[in-house]
Amino acid sequence: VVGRKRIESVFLNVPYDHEFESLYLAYVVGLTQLGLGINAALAVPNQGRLGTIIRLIEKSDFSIHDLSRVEVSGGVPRFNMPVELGLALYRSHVTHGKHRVFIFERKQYRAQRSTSDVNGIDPQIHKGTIKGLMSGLRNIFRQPHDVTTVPEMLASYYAVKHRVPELRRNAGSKSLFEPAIFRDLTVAALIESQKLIDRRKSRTVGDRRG
Amino acid sequence: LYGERASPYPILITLVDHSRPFAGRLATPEILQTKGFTKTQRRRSNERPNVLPYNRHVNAHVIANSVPTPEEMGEILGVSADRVKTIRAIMSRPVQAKGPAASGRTRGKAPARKAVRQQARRVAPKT
Repeated sequence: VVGRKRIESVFLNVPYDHEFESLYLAYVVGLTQLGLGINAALAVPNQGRLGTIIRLIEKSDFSIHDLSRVEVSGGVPRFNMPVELGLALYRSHVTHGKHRVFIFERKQYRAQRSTSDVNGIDPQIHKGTIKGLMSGLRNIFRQPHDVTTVPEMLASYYAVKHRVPELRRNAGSKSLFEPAIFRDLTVAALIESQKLIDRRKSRTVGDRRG
Repeated sequence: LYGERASPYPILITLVDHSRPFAGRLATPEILQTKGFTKTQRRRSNERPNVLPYNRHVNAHVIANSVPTPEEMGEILGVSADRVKTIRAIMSRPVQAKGPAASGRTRGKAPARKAVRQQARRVAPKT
């Protein structure tokens, strides 16, 4: 919250591994561009991790759960994502639906098979693509005035992505899942967003004059 | 349930909103304890549904706030104004175009091999 301004926030529940870096970056850029704050369990030690996650869910207005990597790893299924989804669903229950839960998946009907109890929630299918993910975000969130389009979100994503090596060097972070680079990425996404808004405004002024 | 006779036993009635068949599975059913035969009360259209909508059938949520400025977000995240300036400078720098070596598309040894072949052709006597 800044002064009087309150920014709605999302609890982002995604796998934090190298293979998911591109989609993670897309989530950060996309959600930030839509004007939302992101709460993520980054660099949280295992001890007290659950308590931190619960607190993050409690202070968020929504939660996004990407179940695309719920798969068997080394003979053992990865259940962290569904556990956090369960916590968010309970949060939604006790807040009478005020806390909204959204699910993202890579394949159609996969979530219905893996976690059939959530059949009431239609997952957004991103097919593992940046464009699919941005479209999914636009499906679940709408802006009142500054209507950011999917091509604009993609342009911002690539603009930030091209600067990732420099931003990473600058933040001294080895991976994108560290708090320092996460903050920098959020600010970088907003700088790109501001450029878009300014461009849109100048275009509107130009049209009026023309 | 309709009836004329009063039942001596209490009846438990579970209300499930059948217009939302899947969401109903997730919600705790509302249980009404009534005495005797009574008419099941219908939910009025303006009443709150008894089933909790977790994502309200993916109706898009209209974000209440406008997009914050980088400085505003920096303040929330605890990023100093100087750091925001640094990031702004990084984002305003033009992205360097990748050369063929950087993009992984090198010409390899093909030109050198071609030169060797041509040299060999020149040297070799015509038969």
